[in-house]
Amino acid sequence: MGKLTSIEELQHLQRAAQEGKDPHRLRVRICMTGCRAFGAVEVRDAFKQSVGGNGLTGKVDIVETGCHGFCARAPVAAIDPYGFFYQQISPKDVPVIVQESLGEGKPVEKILYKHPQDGRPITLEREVPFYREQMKIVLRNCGQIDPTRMEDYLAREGYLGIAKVLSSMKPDEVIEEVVRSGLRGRGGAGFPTGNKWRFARGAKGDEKYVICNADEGDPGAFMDRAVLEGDPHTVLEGMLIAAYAIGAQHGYIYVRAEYPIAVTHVKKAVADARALGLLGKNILGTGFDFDVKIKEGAGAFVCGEETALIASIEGRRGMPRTRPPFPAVAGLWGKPTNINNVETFANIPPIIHRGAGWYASLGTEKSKGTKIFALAGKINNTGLVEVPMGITLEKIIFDVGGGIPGGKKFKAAQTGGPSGGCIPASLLNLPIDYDSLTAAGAIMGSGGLIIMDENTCMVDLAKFFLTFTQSESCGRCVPCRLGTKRMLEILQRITEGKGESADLEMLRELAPMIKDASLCGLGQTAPNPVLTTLNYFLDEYRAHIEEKRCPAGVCKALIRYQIIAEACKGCGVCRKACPQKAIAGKPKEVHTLDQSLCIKCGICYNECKFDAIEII
Amino acid sequence: MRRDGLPAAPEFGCPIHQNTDSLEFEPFVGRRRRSEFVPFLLHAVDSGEEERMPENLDLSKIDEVLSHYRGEKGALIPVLQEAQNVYGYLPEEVLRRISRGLNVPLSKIYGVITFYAQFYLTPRGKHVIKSCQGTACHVRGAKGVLDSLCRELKVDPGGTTGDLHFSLETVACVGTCFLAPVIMIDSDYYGKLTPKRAVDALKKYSPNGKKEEA
Repeated sequence: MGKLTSIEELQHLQRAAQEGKDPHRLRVRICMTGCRAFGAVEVRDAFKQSVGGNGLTGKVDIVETGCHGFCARAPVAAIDPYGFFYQQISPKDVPVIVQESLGEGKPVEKILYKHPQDGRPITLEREVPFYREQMKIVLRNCGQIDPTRMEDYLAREGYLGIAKVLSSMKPDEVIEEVVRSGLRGRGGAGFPTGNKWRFARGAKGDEKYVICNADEGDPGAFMDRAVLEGDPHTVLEGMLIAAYAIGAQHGYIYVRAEYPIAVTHVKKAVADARALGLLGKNILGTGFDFDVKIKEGAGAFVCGEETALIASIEGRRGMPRTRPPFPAVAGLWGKPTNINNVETFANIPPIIHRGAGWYASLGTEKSKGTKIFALAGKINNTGLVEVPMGITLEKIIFDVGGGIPGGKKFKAAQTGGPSGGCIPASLLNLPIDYDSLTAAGAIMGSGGLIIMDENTCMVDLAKFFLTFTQSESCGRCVPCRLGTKRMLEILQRITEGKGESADLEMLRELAPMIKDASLCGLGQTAPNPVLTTLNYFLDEYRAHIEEKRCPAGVCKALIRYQIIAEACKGCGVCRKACPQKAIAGKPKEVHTLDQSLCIKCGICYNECKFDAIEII
Repeated sequence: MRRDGLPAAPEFGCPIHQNTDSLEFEPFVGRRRRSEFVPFLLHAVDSGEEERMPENLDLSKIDEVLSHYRGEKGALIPVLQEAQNVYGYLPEEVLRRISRGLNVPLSKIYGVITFYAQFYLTPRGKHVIKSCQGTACHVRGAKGVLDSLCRELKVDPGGTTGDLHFSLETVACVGTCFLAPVIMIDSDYYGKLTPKRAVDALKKYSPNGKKEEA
C-alpha cells in the first residue's frame, strides 16, 4: 500500500479490504495478548504445525488477536466461520480441533465452555453467559482482528470516521456531534468529552496538542491495555478526529512501559498509519496535518493526572500543578492541549461513523454508551467486560461474572481503584453509571471492578489502598503528603490491634480535609476507600478496635493458626512446608503448631489438603 | 520517591550551560529562573571526573543514544530509559554524560530518577522478579507470596541478592489481574500462586537451574 492522497482512495482501500474478507473462510482467532501468560504461544505453534500436517495449508488463517475478554478461561480461541468457542486449550487439544472443527466443521466437546449450573457444553461464543449480556462498542475489534494488520482494521469500518469528518464535517460540527452523543471521559472523572474539546478549540494558539492518556495506573484495571493491544488503530482514529476538531497538529500517546505488548502494537499502528498517509502532513490531500509520538511512562501513578502527565512528557518529575489555567488553555509546552483517555478515544470513531443519536440512545440519561470493566478479585469469570451504562452491579457480578468462587458470600465490590469506594451487598441493585456511583460514595473511575468475598478484611483493604496512595503521593501539597500518612498510621494501628475508638472520629475528621484541600485528583479521592468502608462496614472497624478481632481472618496481629486435631491426617505436608519449623508431629499422627515460632505466613493453611488448619 | 536504600545525591558537578534558553522552565510554579543559578554553577565546573569511570563501562553507547535525541524537547526520560536498557541501571558516569549531552543539570536528573519507580541507580540482579501488589492480587494473597519470596531470597522488597542473581521488586499492577496473585520473572508470568508455588517458580532461574541460559 502506498501513501493515500485523497479521501476517495481511503474509501476505495477500505472497500477493497472489506470485500477481500471471505466470510466463509476458516479462521482460528487466538488471543495472543493476555492469554500468553497461560501458554497461548505454544497453542498457536501447535495450530501452525497441525494445520500444515493436515493438508489445510493455505485454507486456514491463524489470526493472532487481542483480548477476547474471558481471561479466566485462558488460553481461548474461536473458530470461524462456525463461531465455536474453545477455552483452556492445551497444545495437546490442537490436533483434534484441527481435524474435527477445521476439517469437518464439528465442535470438540471437551474444551467447550460448560454452563456453570447444569454443566451442558455451550458451542457458540455468543451463547456463553459471559458474553451474552455484553455490548461491545469499544471492544468491537478486540479478539476479532489481528491488531498488527491495518487491513484487518480497515475491513471492519476502520478509518471511516475520519473519512467522514474530513469529507463532510466542519470542526465545530464534529464537536457538536460528540457533545450530542453525551460521551463522558472514561478516565474516571466523567467530564463531558465534547465540552473539553470545545475549550481546546476555543483556546488561542496556532499550535495545539492532543494527548492520549494510556498511563493506566489503577491497580486492578487493565481495559486500556486490552484496547491498545487488541485494537490500536481505533485509538489513533479517535485522536485524529479530536485533532481535526480542535485544530491540533501534534499528538502524544503516553503509555505505561509496564505494558510491552501494548507499546509494540501502538508503535506498529503509528508506523503503518504514517506509511499510508493517515498521519503526517496534508493527510488525504485535505491540508490537515497531524502526527503522533509515543512516550513511555516511567512508573508513577500520579502521572495519570493531566498536569502531571504533561510534566512527565516534558521530561520533568511528574508533579501536578494548580489549575487554572487548564491544559485546554496552557498545557504541553504551554500550548493548548486536549487530553483524553484510551477508552474515550476508542469511542469516537463509532460515534462519528454511526451518529450521535445512536450512541445517545444507549445507557442512562446522564451516562451514555457502554463502559468496560476489568472484573477481578474473588469472582469466577475474571476478565474484561463491556456493558451498557445503567446495568446493575448484580448483573455484572452474577450473570456476566458468574458469581463468587467456592460458594462464598459476596461482600463488596470496589470500583475506581484507590480513588473509588466499596459498594456493599445491600447496594447490589445499584445501576452502574457515573452519578449513582458518586452518590454511593464511590466513583466510576477507569473501570477496575474488584470483587471481594467474606474472607476479605475491609479495614485491611482500606489500609491497602491508602498505602498505595500514600506512597504514590508526589509530595507537592501538604494535605495529600501528610494527611494520607496520618490516616495510614491510624489504620495501621487499628489492624495491629492498637486502635482506639477515637481513631474512627479522627479518620472521619481528616478525610474531608484531605479531599477538600488537596491539589489534584489523587489527594482529592484518596480518602474514598476509607470513608466508604467506614460507612458500610463500621462493624468490622469496631471488631478490630473493641474486640481486637479481625472477623475476616486477615490482619496478622489479630489472628492465629491452629491445627484441627479431628481433621489432621498427619500427612506431614504442613510440617515440611513450614519455613519456621513451627509444626511438629510423627507421620499419621496429629501434628501440633508451636505458636511461639509461628510467623503467620499462612503457608500451612494453603498447603493443607484436608482443611485441618483454621484461622482463629 | 518510594524506594529505600537510595544512595546519597551525587555531588553537584554538572558542566556550565552554554545556552540557558534551551532549558525547560517549569511554568506556573513561581520558581526562580534557571539563569539566576548560573553563578552557582560557575565554581562547579567539571574537573575531569569522567576519567575515573569503571573500565567495563562503554560510554560510546550512551553517546549514540544521545545523538538520536539531540535538540528534541523533553528527551530526558526517554534517554534515561534507553540508557537503563543499555547498562541495566544508571551509573553515575552515564548520568554525567547525559547531563552534558542534554544540557540538564545533574541535580535535576537525580530528581527525575528518584521520582519514577522505573529507574535504578544501583546494579540489578540477572533476573528481576516483580511481585504484583495490585488490588486483585492483594485480595488473593499477594502479601504472603511476597513475604515468602523475601524469606527465600533473604532480601527486602526492592533489594538484590548478594550474588546479583535476583532482584525482587514490587509493582502496583501488571495488568494481569486474572492471574492473581501474580509475579513476573523477567518477562514470564507466574499466576494463581501460593507462597510455596512462588518459591518453586524461582528454581528454574536459580544459578544451577535449567533455565539459566534460556
